[in-house]
Formats: sequence, C-alpha cells, structure tokens
Amino acid sequence: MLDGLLIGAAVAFTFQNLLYCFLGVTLGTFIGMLPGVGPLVTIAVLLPMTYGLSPESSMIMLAGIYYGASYGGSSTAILVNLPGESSSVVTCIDGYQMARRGRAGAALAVAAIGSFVAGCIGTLAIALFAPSLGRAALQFGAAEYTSIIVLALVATAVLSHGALVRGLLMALFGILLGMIGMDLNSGVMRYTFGFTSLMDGLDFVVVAVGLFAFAEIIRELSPKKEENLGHVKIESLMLTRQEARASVKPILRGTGVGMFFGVIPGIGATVSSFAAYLMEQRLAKDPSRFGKGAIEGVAAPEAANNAAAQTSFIPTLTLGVPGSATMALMIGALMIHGITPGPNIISERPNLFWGLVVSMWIGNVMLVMLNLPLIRLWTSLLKVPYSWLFPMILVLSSFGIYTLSNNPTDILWGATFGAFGYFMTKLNYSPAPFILGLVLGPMLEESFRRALLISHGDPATFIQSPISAGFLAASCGIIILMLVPAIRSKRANLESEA
Amino acid sequence: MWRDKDILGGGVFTLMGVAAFVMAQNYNPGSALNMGPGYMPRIVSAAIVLLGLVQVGGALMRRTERELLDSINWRALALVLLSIAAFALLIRSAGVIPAVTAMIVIAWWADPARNLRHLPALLVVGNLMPILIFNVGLGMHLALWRVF
Repeated sequence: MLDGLLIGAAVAFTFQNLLYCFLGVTLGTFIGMLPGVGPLVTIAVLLPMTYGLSPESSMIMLAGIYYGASYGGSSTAILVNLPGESSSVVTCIDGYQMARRGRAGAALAVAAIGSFVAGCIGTLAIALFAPSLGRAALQFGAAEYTSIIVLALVATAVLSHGALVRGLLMALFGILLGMIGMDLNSGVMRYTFGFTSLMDGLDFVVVAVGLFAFAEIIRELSPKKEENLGHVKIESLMLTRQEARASVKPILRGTGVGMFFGVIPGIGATVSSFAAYLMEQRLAKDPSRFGKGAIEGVAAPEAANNAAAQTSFIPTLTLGVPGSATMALMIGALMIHGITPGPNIISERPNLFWGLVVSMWIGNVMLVMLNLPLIRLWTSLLKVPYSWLFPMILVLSSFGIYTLSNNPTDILWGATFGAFGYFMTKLNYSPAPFILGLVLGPMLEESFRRALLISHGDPATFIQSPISAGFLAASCGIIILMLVPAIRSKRANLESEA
Repeated sequence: MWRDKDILGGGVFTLMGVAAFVMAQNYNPGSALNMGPGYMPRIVSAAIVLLGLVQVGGALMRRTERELLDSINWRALALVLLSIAAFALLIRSAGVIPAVTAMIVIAWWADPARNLRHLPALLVVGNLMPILIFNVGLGMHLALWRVF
C-alpha cells in the first residue's frame, strides 16, 4: 500500500493534476451551492470535454466535482435552508436551526471539519480495502456479477426515490434501452427502428446530458415566485470547547456509517446521511434537542455523506459496477479512454488508481481551505440568477455532445431524452435508476448469459454460490423492507375506513 | 382520471412494454443454456408490462386521494427543444457562431424572467466560452462560421 501511495503522490502532485484537482473541487463547491445544478449535470456536461485529458486528470477532476459538491451543498443547507444537493437534505434540519441561533459559523465549521475527517478516513479506507476487494473480485464468476448488478439496480431503484414499482420500472426501461443496437453475440440489430445512428447503441453520455442537463433546464424555466432567501450573518467560525467535544464522536460514527453504506452498490451518500442522523438521534441522551440546532445533527450526516462519496469509488473501480448514477458517469469517463474498470484496474493502471486516491486527500485539504476562509465570497456567488446560468449550460452541453463524435444527430437524441426526462419527473419517476439500468444492462445480459452457459442452463447456479446468494438475499431484503410499511399503512387505512 | 400519475405512468410503461415484447418476437430467444438475442428482451419487457399493470391496478383500487399530473410547461419544453434543434441543424453547416446565437436567442425567449438588456452579454459570453474551451483550450478545429 505504501508503494501505491508513493506512486499516487507522484501522479497527484504534478502541476497539471493539482490544477485539475483544484478546478474540480472549486467547480464542485460552486455547483453544490447552486440549487438546480448538481454534480450529475456538471459531470454529464464535462464528460465529453475530458476526452482531451489524460485518464488520470479527468478522473481526478470529475471526482473532485463529486465530493466537492457535498461540501458546497452543506453550506447552502446551513445558510439558507436550501439543500444544494440531495445528500445535504438532512443537514438543513439542524444546520439551519444552528444558523438561526447565531451559530452559523460553528455549523459551517463542523460540517467542513466533519467532511474533512471523513474524507481522510474514507481515502485511507480505499487505499486499505480496495486492493483486497479487487483480489476478492477476481474470484467473482458470472453468477456473482449477475447478482451484484441486480443488487445495485434494486437498491438504486428502491432507495433513490422510495417508490418501489416506479424505481424498478425505470431501471427495467433503462436495461431495455441498453439493448438498442447490435447484439454482440449474434450480430442481430435490436430495437434500432431502422436508424443507422442507433446501430452502435445509445451513447450513454448523450442520454445523461439529455436527462440531467436538458430536462433540468425545462423544469427550472417554469415561472415561479421570487424566493426571498433569508440570509444569515456568519460571525465567528470558531467552535466553543463544548461544541467541539460534542462533535468528535458523531463525526467518527458518521464516518463509519458512511463508509459502510458507500461500499454497498446502490446505497450511497443520501441514504447514509439519513442513517447517520437517525443513529445520532437514537444515541443522544436528550433526543428532543434534534431539530432545534443540535451540533451532532450536522456533524454526523456531513461526515457520513462525504465518507460514502469516497468509498463508493471502491465497487465502482474494483468491480466495475457503479453504485449510483454519478458513479456510472465516472465509469463513462473511463470508457471514453478505453479503460474498463474491474478487478485488475489496480495492478494494470496503478497510476490511475493511486493517483485518484491521493488526489482525493489533496482535494479534501483544498476544500477545507476553500470553504472555511472564503465562505463569504461563495455566498455572494449564490446570487447568480438562473437566467444567466441556463443558456451557458445549454451551450456547453450541446457542444459536449457534438464534439463526442461530430454528429449533429446525437444532439437531437439528447433533446429527445431531455423531453423524456421532463415528462418522467412530472410523473414522479426518478432518472437515476434509468441511467443505471442503461449502463448496467449490457453487463447484466452478458454475465447472465455466461452464468447460465457455465451451469448448463441451470438457474440454481445463482443460489448455489454463497456470495451470489447473499447479494440476491440482500436485494429481496430491501424489497421486503419497502413492502412491509406499505402493507402496514394500507391495513391501518382499511381499519380507519371500517 | 387519466391525469392520475400512477395510471398515466403505469399505462405508458405497459404500452411500451407490450411494444417491446412484440418486437422481441423477431429476435431468436435461444434457450437458457444458449441465450439468443431475444432472451433478455422478452424477460425485461414482460417484467415492464407486469409492473406497469401492477401500478395501474393499484391506482384503480385505491380509495385515497389521487395525485394528479400538474400543468406541463409546454412553452419552455417547446422552446428549449427548438433551441437545441436549431443548434444541431446549424453547427455543421453554418458554424459555431450562428449555431450558438440561434440557440441562445431561442432559449432566452423561453425564460420567464428574460430581460432584453441581458441578451447581448449572454450572446458574447455564450459564443466566447465554447470557442475558448474547444478551439483554444482543447485545440479542436470547429469552424466559427461558414459562407454558404
């Protein structure tokens, strides 16, 4: 591991990569603060531009955007009670209350310190565990891969929006559209409708830009009332001794929760921040303080979402199975360079893996420096109106798609998916399981086919391997967990009706 | 009732699933031992039909209040799509500057908070940004404009 970290330091400390790391975390902080522009949109828009960079630089920058956004998101959550992105929703609860009591500075400080500590421990966890997980993954056969992909899809489908059937439908539809194009085994054209532009399949970047950039713009352009954001003054950033003492353990516990949930594909930053918050509330001597500005309620979820953001790179890189839509984009960034993540990535591409790990640590240091002393500068940027932002997003997205293959038809496909995404969110369907299905679909079909080929067509192979059976049991467990409260509340409804 | 989000959404998915299943009949399913190109499409589209029906059925049986589709912002939808289409049509034949200009003017028109005085600045920044990133920064050769 020490050798690895040295290789990584040599990569991450070059001027170019430090620059891209800085660019990534700065952009991440910025877009994390802006409501309506999240890391997904930003990464989707930037993805085509990373073609000209080295794979190391592009991963370092995109990862910086991803974990930088969770820093920026917490600042707006605390200051104006608006979560800049979904993993900061919990921080609003106690963070904004602290700000209203005049402790905005302390809340910002504990959020940044918590994120930093979690980021450092999370980075260390990647360095420690990813290689061994990579070795374990070498033992994975087709059946195990099939089951872990199923788990990732089910978990995202269920947890991203809390709606079981809706999430599964979107994931399945993603898998279906993932089949468009030539079947690699038989050469048969599937679902191309005679379009030559579909023969190679849908380009994942085109779909992502359409779903996350174009659809979001259409959604945001509806006339709405001018929101008056109550701005809170930031006084001292210093924590009192009592506050500091109260946040040490929550930060560490939050880090643990986040690291655990981050590794499981399909769960991720948002769920782990909720879990960490609930855990602190359970453990507190006086749970009634929560919701009224308890510092533990800021420290733990902030640590958890950052830890999860870091450790979610473990399954993404070592198994090649992305656990979230953002991670799917990361894989997309690697594929642009012809790199397929998998168990061998650490030994075959040590520069990429270790460079990324070390850059994450550097990025976290940069983020603390960017976020704490410069917080007043950032809050003034919050006032950039959407009227100025969206034309730029539109232009850059379209150029991004066009430069991918110099084919204007791709831009029209992007527009089609923009309209699709807009209608689907209007009907409460979330795009995250769809994009994950699109990415994982071809992998699922291939490993499913291989697993059945090896077992001579016997489906029992999926439960005979203990690892595979474990993944499938976890998937069923999540579904049952989701169904039980629904049945219970339905019964309660029936009783109240009777 | 057709504006109920569950009925509308579940119905659309059911129809798409049926269409995909029918189309999958053209692809050879093979067998479990040796899956053909039609094996997965059948499973996946059947599952979509099943879940779509579950959603519609659940909504029909529900007594509680329905969640209705609220108004679609047709104006923003049409203008944003139009601006993207204009860009797609112009970028290769007319070059960067006409494509970006058309895109920004149409998109600006979609903004409910638009202000005519902001348009020139948007056009300048919108044109300079991609030129600086792609032509200067990444060294691509995108034609700025072409004479017909």
